[in-house]
Amino acid sequence: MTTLADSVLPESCFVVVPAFNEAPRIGRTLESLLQVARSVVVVDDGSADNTAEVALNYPVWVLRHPVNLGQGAAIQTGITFALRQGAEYVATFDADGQHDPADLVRMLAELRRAGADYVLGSRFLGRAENIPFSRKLMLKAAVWYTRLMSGIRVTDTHNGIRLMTRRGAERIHITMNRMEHASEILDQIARSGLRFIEVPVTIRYSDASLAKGQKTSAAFRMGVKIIAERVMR
Amino acid sequence: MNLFQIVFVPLCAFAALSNLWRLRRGQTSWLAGLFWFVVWTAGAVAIAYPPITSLAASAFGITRGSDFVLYLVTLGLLFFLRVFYNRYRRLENMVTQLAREMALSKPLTNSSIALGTDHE
Repeated sequence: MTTLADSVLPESCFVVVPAFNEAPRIGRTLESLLQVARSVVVVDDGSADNTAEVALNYPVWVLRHPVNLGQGAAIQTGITFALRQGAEYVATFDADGQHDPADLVRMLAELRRAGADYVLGSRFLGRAENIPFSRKLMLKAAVWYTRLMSGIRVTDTHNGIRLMTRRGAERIHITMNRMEHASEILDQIARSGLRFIEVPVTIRYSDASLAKGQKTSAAFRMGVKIIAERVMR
Repeated sequence: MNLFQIVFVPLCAFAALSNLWRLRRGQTSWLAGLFWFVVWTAGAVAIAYPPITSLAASAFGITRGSDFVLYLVTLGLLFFLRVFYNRYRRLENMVTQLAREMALSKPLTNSSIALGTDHE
């Protein structure tokens, strides 16, 4: 029998929502997220619109970067805040409404069941609704690229929905501010030696999320940055 | 003298001399001043008298002087690229840390807004 406690996240599970110019979407995202999460941290990454003001209409924490640093930096800020608040679990969740909050509850249950420290959402094990063919191709290429560069075998590399234990979150130190952070996190997970699992999740692509998502040229730049980081450091 | 030499020998010589002038006025360090003076002077000499690069190249077992210059320039550029990339990344991390601490020092909630505690 499913109880209320099984369908919501505990207060000690902090959900980090990085947001940049998400004013038109963040309200709806928070409304659905707050159905399952009690501790939500929105990191407004130097938005030019009123993302922070909209988010402040909801019972969440809002942290504001004075300038736009990138999604990776925003996630790290949120993780640091959550750890300082005593979080036992930290999740990441995109602000554009493409994730299903119910997936977070299942991910936490799977994390506990498997005794893992990281649980990564995979749209390719689950569902990717309205995903354009070009995006699917790009994401598949990213999977192979990550496998080659990090040696980590996952089915989805750039999925914004993740959940980790406190121990796992403490091992994550994102230094690549922009979208390359997704690969950096996988790198750090691989190096941490801690256990990770993948869980099927649903991603719903909308015109808005596709407009804001990664373009092929940006994906190429991201690949170059990852190589530069490895070669030049 | 060909056209290239006519244009670039005086340019290199001017760069070397202006560097000495900056050094004399204390606008650059001794190390930097000496380094750039040697670089520009070597450039002027190599352009004015190309066989000298072959002499230097043969000392390292390289046949052509132009190859020797190309290797030197490539190695130099790679070195500086790495130095500047790391400097850029350190600077980026510092800015990120600063912005992060600013954000973390003032967490906002709708109750803090209502109480007016988010503004100093």
